Amino acid sequence: MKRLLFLFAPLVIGLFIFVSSASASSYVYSYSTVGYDSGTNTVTGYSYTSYPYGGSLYYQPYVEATLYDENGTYLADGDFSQTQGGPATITLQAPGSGCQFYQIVGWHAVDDFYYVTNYYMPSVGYRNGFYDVDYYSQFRENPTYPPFGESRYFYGAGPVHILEEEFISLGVTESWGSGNCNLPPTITSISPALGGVGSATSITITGTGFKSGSIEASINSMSNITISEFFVDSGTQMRAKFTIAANAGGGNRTVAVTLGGIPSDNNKNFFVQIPTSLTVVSVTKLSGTTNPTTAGCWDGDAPGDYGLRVSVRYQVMDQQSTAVAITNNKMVLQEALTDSVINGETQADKPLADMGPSRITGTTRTTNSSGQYLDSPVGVCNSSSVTATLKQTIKVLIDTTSTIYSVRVNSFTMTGPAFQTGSISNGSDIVSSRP
Amino acid sequence: MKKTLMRTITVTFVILITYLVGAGQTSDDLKQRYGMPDEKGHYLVRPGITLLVTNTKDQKPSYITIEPGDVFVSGSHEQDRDGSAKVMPSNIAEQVLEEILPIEKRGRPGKGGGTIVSGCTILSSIDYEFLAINISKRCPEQGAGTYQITIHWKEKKDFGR
Repeated sequence: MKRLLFLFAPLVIGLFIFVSSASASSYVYSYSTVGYDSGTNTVTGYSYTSYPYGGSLYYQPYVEATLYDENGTYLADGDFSQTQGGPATITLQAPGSGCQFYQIVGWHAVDDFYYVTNYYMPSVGYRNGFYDVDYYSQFRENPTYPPFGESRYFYGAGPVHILEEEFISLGVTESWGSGNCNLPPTITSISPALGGVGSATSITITGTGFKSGSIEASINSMSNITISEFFVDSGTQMRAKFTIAANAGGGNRTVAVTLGGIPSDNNKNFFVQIPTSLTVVSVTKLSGTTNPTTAGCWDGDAPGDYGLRVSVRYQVMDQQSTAVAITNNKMVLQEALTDSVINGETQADKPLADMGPSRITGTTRTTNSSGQYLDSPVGVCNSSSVTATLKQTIKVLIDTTSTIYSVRVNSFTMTGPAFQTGSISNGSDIVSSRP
Repeated sequence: MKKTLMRTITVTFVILITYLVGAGQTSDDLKQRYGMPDEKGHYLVRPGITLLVTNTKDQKPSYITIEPGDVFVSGSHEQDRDGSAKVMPSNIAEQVLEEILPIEKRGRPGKGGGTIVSGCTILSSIDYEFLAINISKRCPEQGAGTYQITIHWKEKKDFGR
């Protein structure tokens, strides 16, 4: 696919220039190209050649080319104007090395009706064919193209569209050096290199050989991951948003990039996290044990203060052997209660349902942005001595989907043997008692 | 000693007779009040609320369960799996409880009972001399409601009528 990268636009006015015989006025045109330097740490020069043609009389106008880097920062310029027949050549030396991205902006002022000049685009080191040349002549509409290989006369007013192939056919040389620019990009890292199912993660890809500007860039497709907001920030950085489907399978996805049709010479893994376990972040005792508002006890309870309830803060962890936190605020924790016995009286099983929000301030339906969840309250309360057991099966529901992951089972033993005493224990990481 | 033994036998006999009579009355009363149960024994006590009597192996009632559901509708007692477990309006559920087991029929309050809380769920057991009423509720923050009420006879006892 060809791209239009020559920009001719009238600019400021009247520059000096060489004065031809009948010059009455001057015009300034600009154009730009984008491309790569052709070197592999060896060639950094751009040879830019102007071929003036004319009739019996011609004068080369003032021509200057300026080299910018990919960020539009000035690097070098040169004047290849001449007074007699061409070609004239300047070399713009790019300070960088390797396969880099530069743009040349050429300026030329034309003068008089005999003016004819062609500006040739790179034919060496140029890749993937994205050069078109727009030539704007100021004199006459509908110019007639000469056959290939012959001089061109343009008498008309622009735009005249000259295709790259025509230049090549003319055997014109504008050298981008002799190196090979088809160096593949390399990915150095991806950050973050993981994300939870059902989440959207903004990632940064760093590497070398990236190019910004008018070049096709892409990230390979990955199963159950939608890529959006893709930007090539510089020669060393890209950004993208990975939206992971709620039902995505866990594990690594291979990330590779392609720039200008050249795939990266390596790839990196992006790990899809599946909720697999909950770790306990904190266990906090609650006060006001029979207050239904603050402790979550039933309104029908007689006043009393036997037993203990706690607030447990969990962190959702992934499936890796050394589990890593999942930072996703769209995880809904649900619980089913079974094997509940209060003072010997077996209670009905409670089906799976959202754990929060509950009657405790600060509880929510979903995890916070760190992937943490406050389960509160958990425990037993009574107006007299009490012992109880409870099996709490916790699952994680991803957002509004039906994808559910089992993450934890707590088998609690809870006591309240005397006034203002109580304990709760799951036999491992949730243990608390009072006084 | 002899007197005590005789008193115990008499009390046991009275309880047994009362239970047997009471059970029959209850079954008839339930049919009269709520219509015929479905093939699984569920009575429709209110729209969307059923009552099930569960007997012991020797066909003596040991549980009554009041829960959301319908009669003659397969799967209506299964809970939704999307996190929105079925509940009954708590006031209606307790109205049914009072209807089938008025407070004066429950015996003296016992010393057991208690409440387990877990997140938004409240499991309460209310203890009486011969039975326990177990209620599981959803907290108001998620819309309130009662998941289930069960009446559990600890011993052979008339449960109401």
